Amino acid sequence: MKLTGENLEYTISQYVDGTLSEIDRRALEEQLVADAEARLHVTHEAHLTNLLREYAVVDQPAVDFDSFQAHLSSVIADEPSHLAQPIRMTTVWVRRLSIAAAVGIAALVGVKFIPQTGDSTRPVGTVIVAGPAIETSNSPADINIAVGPSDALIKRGQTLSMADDSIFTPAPRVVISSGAGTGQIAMDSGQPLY
Amino acid sequence: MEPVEAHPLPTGPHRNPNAEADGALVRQTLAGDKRAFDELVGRYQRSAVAVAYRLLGKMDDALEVSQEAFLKSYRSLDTLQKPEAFAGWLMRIVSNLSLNYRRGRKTRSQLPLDDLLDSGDRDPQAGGDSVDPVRVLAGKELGERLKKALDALPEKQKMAILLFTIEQMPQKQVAEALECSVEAVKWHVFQGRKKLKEMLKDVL
Repeated sequence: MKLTGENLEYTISQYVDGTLSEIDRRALEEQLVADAEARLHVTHEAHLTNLLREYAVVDQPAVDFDSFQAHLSSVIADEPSHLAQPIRMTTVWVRRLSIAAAVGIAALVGVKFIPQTGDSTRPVGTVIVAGPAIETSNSPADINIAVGPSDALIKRGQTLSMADDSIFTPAPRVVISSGAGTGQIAMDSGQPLY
Repeated sequence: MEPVEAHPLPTGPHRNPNAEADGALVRQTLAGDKRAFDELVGRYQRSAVAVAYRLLGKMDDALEVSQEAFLKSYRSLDTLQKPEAFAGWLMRIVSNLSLNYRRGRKTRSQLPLDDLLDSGDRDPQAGGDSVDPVRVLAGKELGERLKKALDALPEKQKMAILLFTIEQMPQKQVAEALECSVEAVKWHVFQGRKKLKEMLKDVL
């Protein structure tokens, strides 16, 4: 079958590269005998390929590859040897181990916390909660709540200035004391609340 | 009847004949033999530098990136699943590092004029031929046009042509470097060359 168009060009491209199968090569060579246009394609393709290779050789600056290799060799010599790293983990193994660990943890969590369907009446476990000890009093307690100017204000003689306020609003002092008649003050705001 | 080709047909290797030996050298390196890695460097330093140079346009940058690529390949050699595929894997590292380097540099790879002049003056002398200024100038112009045309190709097509057509790496190795199938490599090469022919039709 005669090749035409892009099929012909593609086949010629492989022919010039030497990658065409034996059967296809023979078929193309038969066509080339009678097809001038196909022969022209071959000429152009071969010319371009040779030009590219020639240009590559001419264009590239000279390099002292012996020095390059010697330099690389000294750089590699400073690198740790592969044999000296027997436990070096590759990315693949890190991934595998991570997956295995995740599966193991998931299985452990499942066994430990998912309710078992077998004996549902049996308690799963005992929980002991430790709380504050009960406080006992040896004597009756009394609580005094006083409202009025604080002791500090009284001592400083500032109660008069607050007299008007005291008429309209509750005094700013709150004292809470407890204990068996000791009068020990548990909390004293100590200053006006407003 | 006209001859089938006016230009000699280039040869194109299919498979890497060094694959098995490369695999053995990789295993020796992993067993602690650094000299084995030196041999791998010796085998592929030219290709690595050439590819980096094509992508970066400056030899200093190409050497730096190539060294980095070899070092990186040494350090992560134990992650290489098929030791026989070392060459393709290395070229993938070289091309990735080159592209990253180029992005970092934020310039397209433009060959400096000095480099062109150096290469034009040096090579005829190296070959022992007399210098023909007209031919040298024509070569420079053609080289510049080829370079621009190559740079204008999509990345995969450009890499396929660099590795397969110019560096003549086996297609399987190129496929490994580009992380695609051998058929895809053939297609990238074909499409790339088709575009190059269009861009360079006046000189072909």
